[in-house]
Amino acid sequence: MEKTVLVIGGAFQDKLTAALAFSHLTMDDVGENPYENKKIINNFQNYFKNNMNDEGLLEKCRGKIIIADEVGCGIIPLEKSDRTYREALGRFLCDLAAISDTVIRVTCGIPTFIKGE
Amino acid sequence: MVTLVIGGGGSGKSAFAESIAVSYSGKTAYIATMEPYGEEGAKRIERHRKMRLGKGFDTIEQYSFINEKTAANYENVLLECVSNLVANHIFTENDKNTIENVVDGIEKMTKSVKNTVIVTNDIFNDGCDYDDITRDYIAKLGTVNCRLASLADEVFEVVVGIPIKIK
Repeated sequence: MEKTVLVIGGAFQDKLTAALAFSHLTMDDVGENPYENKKIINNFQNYFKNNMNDEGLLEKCRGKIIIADEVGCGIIPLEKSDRTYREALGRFLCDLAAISDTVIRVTCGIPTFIKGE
Repeated sequence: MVTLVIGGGGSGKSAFAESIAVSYSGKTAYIATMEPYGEEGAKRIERHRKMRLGKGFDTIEQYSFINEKTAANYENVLLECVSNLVANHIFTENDKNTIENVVDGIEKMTKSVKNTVIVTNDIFNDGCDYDDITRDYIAKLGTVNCRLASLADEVFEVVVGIPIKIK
């Protein structure tokens, strides 16, 4: 069984670079849709935004390296749809972290292993 | 023991803070600072009530001016959350000394009990520019968080449900 990895951090923190270094994979292995046959899923938050009600999504993330922006560390958005997305992504990533073998947090391009190795 | 728990929206900080609070023996007061407002607020409160169900917490609704009397008769306190408390001081009470009143009040309360778990919000990382009123709120909450972290024995940041001990 391939390992499940979550790479989390703010926008523009070089999470993809960190994920490639960690996995020894290349850009050929990078997609943006968990239903694609790619090991690394980049910008997961964008896919999630349009597919929040897909109950099979968590299982689809299993065995992959999911890269997602941290979106919960700001002022609560004025638009209800933004609030719903922000909250749902946070909860989803808590669930994904729970089933992940490794969780890497990236700040300024520096990876910190907050779960597993 | 004073523990401060900080995290973003949907980070799992409440669940982690509750897990610390249930580990303490003796009576625990849950101080709820969020005024029920609108449908979303009601839903949020309901979700948190369900999470706390069966954990033996007594809920005290105290929206502002927490002090040593707030949790008298309790051994432990779980305070959730400071971001609402600061907002209530500024916007409801029109309190000109929000920072001092919030921090001093919480400190007095921590001395009236054995253990305190304080939940606060990380709202400082969206890089957006806001109007003066919002910026003032962000600045005040930031200062309150720093002062609470300074008086706390332990500080945890919660990221995707994972607690990271930073003090």
